[in-house]
Amino acid sequence: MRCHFRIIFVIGLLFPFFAEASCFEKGYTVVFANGILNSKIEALENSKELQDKLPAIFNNEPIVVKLAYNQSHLAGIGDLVEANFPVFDDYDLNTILMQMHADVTTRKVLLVGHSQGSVYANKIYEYLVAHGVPAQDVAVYAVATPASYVAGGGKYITYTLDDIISLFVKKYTWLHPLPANVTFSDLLNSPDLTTDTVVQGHSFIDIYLGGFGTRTVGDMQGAMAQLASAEGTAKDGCFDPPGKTLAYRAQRVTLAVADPVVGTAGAGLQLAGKGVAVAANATKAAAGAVGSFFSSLIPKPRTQNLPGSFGVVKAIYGSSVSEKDLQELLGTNQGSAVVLAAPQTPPPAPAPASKQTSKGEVRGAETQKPETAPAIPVAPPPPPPIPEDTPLIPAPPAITGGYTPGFGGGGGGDSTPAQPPETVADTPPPAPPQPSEPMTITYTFTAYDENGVSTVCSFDDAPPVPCEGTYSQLLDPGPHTFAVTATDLVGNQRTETRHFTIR
Amino acid sequence: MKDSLHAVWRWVKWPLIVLAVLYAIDVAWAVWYRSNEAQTNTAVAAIHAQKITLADVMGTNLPPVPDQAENDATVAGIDKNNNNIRDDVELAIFKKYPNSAKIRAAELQYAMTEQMYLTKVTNTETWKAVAEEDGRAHLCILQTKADRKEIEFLVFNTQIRKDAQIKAFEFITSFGPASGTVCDVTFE
Repeated sequence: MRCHFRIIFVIGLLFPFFAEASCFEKGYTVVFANGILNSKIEALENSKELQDKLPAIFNNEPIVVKLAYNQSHLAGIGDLVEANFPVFDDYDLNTILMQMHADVTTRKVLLVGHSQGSVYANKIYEYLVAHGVPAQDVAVYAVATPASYVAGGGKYITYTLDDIISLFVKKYTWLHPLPANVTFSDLLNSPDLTTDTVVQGHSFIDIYLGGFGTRTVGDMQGAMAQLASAEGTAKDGCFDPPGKTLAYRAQRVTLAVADPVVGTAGAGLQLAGKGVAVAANATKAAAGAVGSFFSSLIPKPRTQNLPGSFGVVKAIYGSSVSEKDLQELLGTNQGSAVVLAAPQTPPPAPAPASKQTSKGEVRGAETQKPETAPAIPVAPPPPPPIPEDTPLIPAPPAITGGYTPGFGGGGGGDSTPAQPPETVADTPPPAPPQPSEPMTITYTFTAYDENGVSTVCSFDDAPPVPCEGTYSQLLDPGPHTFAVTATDLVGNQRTETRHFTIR
Repeated sequence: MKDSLHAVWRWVKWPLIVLAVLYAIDVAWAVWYRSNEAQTNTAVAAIHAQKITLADVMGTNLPPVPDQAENDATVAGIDKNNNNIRDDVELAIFKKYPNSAKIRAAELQYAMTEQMYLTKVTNTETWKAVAEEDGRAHLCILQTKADRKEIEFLVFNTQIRKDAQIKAFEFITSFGPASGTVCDVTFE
């Protein structure tokens, strides 16, 4: 008898009890699913920033953001496997659903996924609808989604200069992401544009809640406005959670052992980012390319007002890698490090989201013309940076300078065809200059190489002089050319030129 | 008869011993788990019980200015007045907002919860409890339009504290803000 009690006691320990949860008619729960390879602190920070941006009260009901933590496994390798073979993501999905069960306490639920989190948002939606939640109570909003659809016909936002989606996911995974639906020109017209706006990258905070913050938050509010508060059929709480099956427990035990082992083995998240870089480097080396994978002129990711110049400052955008992405690639910043340094193709005019593209499918995704203003109420766009009648340097209509892929010699190792880089007019000057007078022209640029790089600059036919990051000169009216040449330690060179006219 | 029993025992002995050992391990694990669970439950309850008071907000028991080197020598730092808010952070908040008790209340609450990441997290359950209180304090910050980032900057101000924060976040899991009134101390 005593033995029976003990067995019952032990069995009781093995099976946790679930507290009964409530599901309220009032209020909104925004469940944020983070992307892969985010640092853990970043995952929380993303959800906090989302809470910061959303109103506390919407339709007289509170909004509360909850984090559905999408765990990294096997030092990032597991995430890449999951990203490529979604069949393996059941363990994380079930974990998130079990953890969410007690936290989701309102009928109205908006699932917001960033990056791979969008894939989970789709799957969570599908699970919820199949397990007690009326479809009209839940919606998905996808941010920088690698998925080919948004569950439930939800909206999404993907930036053309989001390298993770536009380059890495498309090139190095078997996923077929939805086409980008916001462009650099949308960013320039965004009411959120400031001198600190990050103009390139994948960051949830810097890009999607930053430069596109009004649009992103407006889209989310639009989705929440459509939510109903119908009563579901769940027996406990807002939905019936998955059970801890034997397979789930086995996976948990396996990962509990394997995650620390792989992590300790030094693979680290850098593996994901650097691994791709190393592979690409190897490919380049095999192709006889010279120079570093990262040895390209890389834009400063922020627009800047440079002191001492009221002229238009033209940042040279010659790569797809933002400063933050570069830090991640170089291991100085743990995060979504999987980006490529291939020359940036200018933002293509993406097909409307409702159209079937050659890759992937759009299921229920809203049609969005990429160049049109967002559907949400936004402040009127700021005036164009350069008034037409302002006798300043016009933005170069085409980058006719010698843009070459990779550093000099060898014909370049990147298989990506050379494309003109994105050219970015910086913030407008405070006052127009007098016409037909000399004016100071400043160019700003960034050249990176992990082993160091030197740069020389020149205007027109003047002999090149050493420069670093920026170069200014007083120039007379008329046509001019600016050139910057970067040289790495072994002598590989790359030159960028820009042509402009002072009228 | 005796020989046959002996032969049976010889065959049954080792499986029985193995089962007995497994059972002993299971019971030992269950006892350890139970004990650990009790400790965790106590720690979680303590985290949720930690609140700031009106006295904290009004500064009736402000600590002396700590020695910065001594304060920064440990992760926990110095909390002379034992109100679970690190003294340097507490004084910085009072210095910046001498005339707004509302903002002080929100920032002190947030500072207390951020500090708990450094001092109270030992496993996933305690991380979650801290995160839930952090979420509640964050909502309080939003209500008062205070600045959470300046508090984070003050709390995670040294490398050892940043490292401790990263270590605590090894236990990150899904969570939502703790329910109930968002601000420990409210003002009209």
